[in-house]
Amino acid sequence: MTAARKLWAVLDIMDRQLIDRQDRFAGTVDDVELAVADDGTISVTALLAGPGVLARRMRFHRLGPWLERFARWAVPAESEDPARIPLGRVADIGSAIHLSLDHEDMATMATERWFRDNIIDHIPGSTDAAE
Amino acid sequence: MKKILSITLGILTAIGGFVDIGDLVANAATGARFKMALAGVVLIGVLGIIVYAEMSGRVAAITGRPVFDLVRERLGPNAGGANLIASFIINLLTLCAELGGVALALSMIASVNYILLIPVAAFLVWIVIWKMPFERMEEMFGLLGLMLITFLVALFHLHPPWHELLHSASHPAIPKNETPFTFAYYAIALFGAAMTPYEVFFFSSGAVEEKWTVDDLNLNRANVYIGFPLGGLLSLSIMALTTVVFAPRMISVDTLPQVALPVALSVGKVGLGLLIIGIFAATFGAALETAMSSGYCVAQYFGWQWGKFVKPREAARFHVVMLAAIVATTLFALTGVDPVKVTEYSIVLSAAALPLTYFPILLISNDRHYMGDHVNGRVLNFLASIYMVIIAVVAVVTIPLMIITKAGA
Amino acid sequence: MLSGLPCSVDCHRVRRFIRRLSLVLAVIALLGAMTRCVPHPVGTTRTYASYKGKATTTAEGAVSAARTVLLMTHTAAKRNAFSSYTAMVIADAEDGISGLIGTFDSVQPPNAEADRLHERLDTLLSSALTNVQALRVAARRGVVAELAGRAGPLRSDVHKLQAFVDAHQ
Repeated sequence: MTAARKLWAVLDIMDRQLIDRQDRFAGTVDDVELAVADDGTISVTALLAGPGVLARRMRFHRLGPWLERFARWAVPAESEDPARIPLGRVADIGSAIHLSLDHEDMATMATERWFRDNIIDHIPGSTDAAE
Repeated sequence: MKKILSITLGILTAIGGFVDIGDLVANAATGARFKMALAGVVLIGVLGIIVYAEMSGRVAAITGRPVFDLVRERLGPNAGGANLIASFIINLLTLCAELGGVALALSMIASVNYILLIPVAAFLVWIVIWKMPFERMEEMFGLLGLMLITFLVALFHLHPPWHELLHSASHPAIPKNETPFTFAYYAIALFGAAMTPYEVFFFSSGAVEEKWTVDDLNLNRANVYIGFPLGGLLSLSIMALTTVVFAPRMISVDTLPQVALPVALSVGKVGLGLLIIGIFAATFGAALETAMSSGYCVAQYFGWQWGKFVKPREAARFHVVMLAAIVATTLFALTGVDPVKVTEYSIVLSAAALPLTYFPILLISNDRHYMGDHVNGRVLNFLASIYMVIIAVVAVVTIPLMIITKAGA
Repeated sequence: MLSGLPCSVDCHRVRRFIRRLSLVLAVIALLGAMTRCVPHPVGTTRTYASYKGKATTTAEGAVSAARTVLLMTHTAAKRNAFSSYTAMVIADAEDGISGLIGTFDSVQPPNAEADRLHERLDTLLSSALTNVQALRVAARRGVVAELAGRAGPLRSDVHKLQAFVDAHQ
């Protein structure tokens, strides 16, 4: 993990697939939160993932905050900032990043939840296992 | 034993899955217009799709990461996003063409105007995606697509002048009433028909759907090295049939039913019936693949849950994207656009967009951090780099050629 | 956040994004143009030579459609095709010829010589259309076996159209 705290490693994990603790896809690393220590070293404090985060990074200045509000509204209140994933929650970094989180608690699930509840659940057979 | 069975099945589905409306139209049209002069392009295209599919299948098996996941990771959200939009639009265009093909195949038997059958075809595509397990879906349409072998049988039954066909293929010459530009344009159409990007989106996502691992690399190779060349053989037999039957009569291929005429002439009603089943299965299978590819590429870009290995409600956005893609293309098809024209545009634009997805895969398949010992071998990497150049050249010249030739008119 | 750092990876990405964006715009523009595409390169002309070129292209298209019908009737007469398929192929050819007539008629003939050319080709095209129509009606009624026998008039249309093409190439 120490390697991942270095900046070059950070650049490497940007845009990588996130996987939750039940092996479900849970968005991608849309941005990272950095902190500069007193001695000038830069370290990663959290991964950021959510529709608003991506929109902000792509410089959609209106869409970003709007999507962030939507995510906060759609994800249960217990998580203060659902888009922030503290480094302690990162279980493994490989070709994908495994988290010790449930994707239901993440901002990346906000739109998923909306489409599931408002469209997919109304179509017969949505809970049938595919195989 | 079970392994051998699954390899055989994979090969069979690869043959059935290679030929779609793009190959049917492009090969039939070029055969009628240029005889076998462009047969070499089919071979180049088949080798290209082998290289591309093998790399992406291997990357998916080793890392579990399909194409668009890697596109986003390597190119970032902006370039990756532009790539997504281009690929998505071309994918929709292809889906529209395939739906037209399904409806036309049905109407060849049912005596109903094909426009009326487009919503039926679209609904069938959606219900199969919604309900049918992934592997059964692949097997069913792949195996039915094998009926396209009727093309090969019909060709042999006509006792064609083989040496003339071979001579035309090995000494490519531009017919005197054609320009080098139309010749090049049709070459690109054939190349795009053989190397359609959706095939690779689907192939690599399918590898994840079927939970391939390192142990499945041989299955990957068998599918690719045997299935695609046999699919290419079918393409060449379509081209040879129209070379023999249409070219001497100055008949140009403007509609899909025309493509079946040489087969009816050669092997009669039974052959025609089997062929129509084959065309139905091949275009239906391709419609499934393109509809699912539209879901795959969007979901993988954003990291959403995707795949038929989970219940639809657990991959809600993935299913919504596919549903929206099917509805949008159905509406577009209902405006009465000519399915053959849509096909021609979709394959040519596919050729133009190839570098967008090929390049990231080439990078990753050479990256030891991801692939460990399974990076590209020397020979393969040499080939893959040559194809990178070919694909880049094709992409650059496609749009100007399209304008010069008024889209091959 | 990364955007706060001096020249992050995003700098290069923005530049690449602009390049890609132009490609996407080209694709979208093409899609737009596509919906307005005509099946044949026939538009306005000013000279007799280019009018003649368009006439030849039109005649070639008609020869292709009519020969498809002849091949179809030949195949159907040997009971080698279903009547639904036969009718569909003939109806497609009929649509093709009437489309050709429509596009060709919309071209303004530049002079009196072009008028005569227009008249000659128009006669040939309408005769071919009528004869294809007759065959389509017969095919829809299921009298598939007799189709080849009724194809005589269309065969002579094809000869005349082909002669027209050869004379004006």
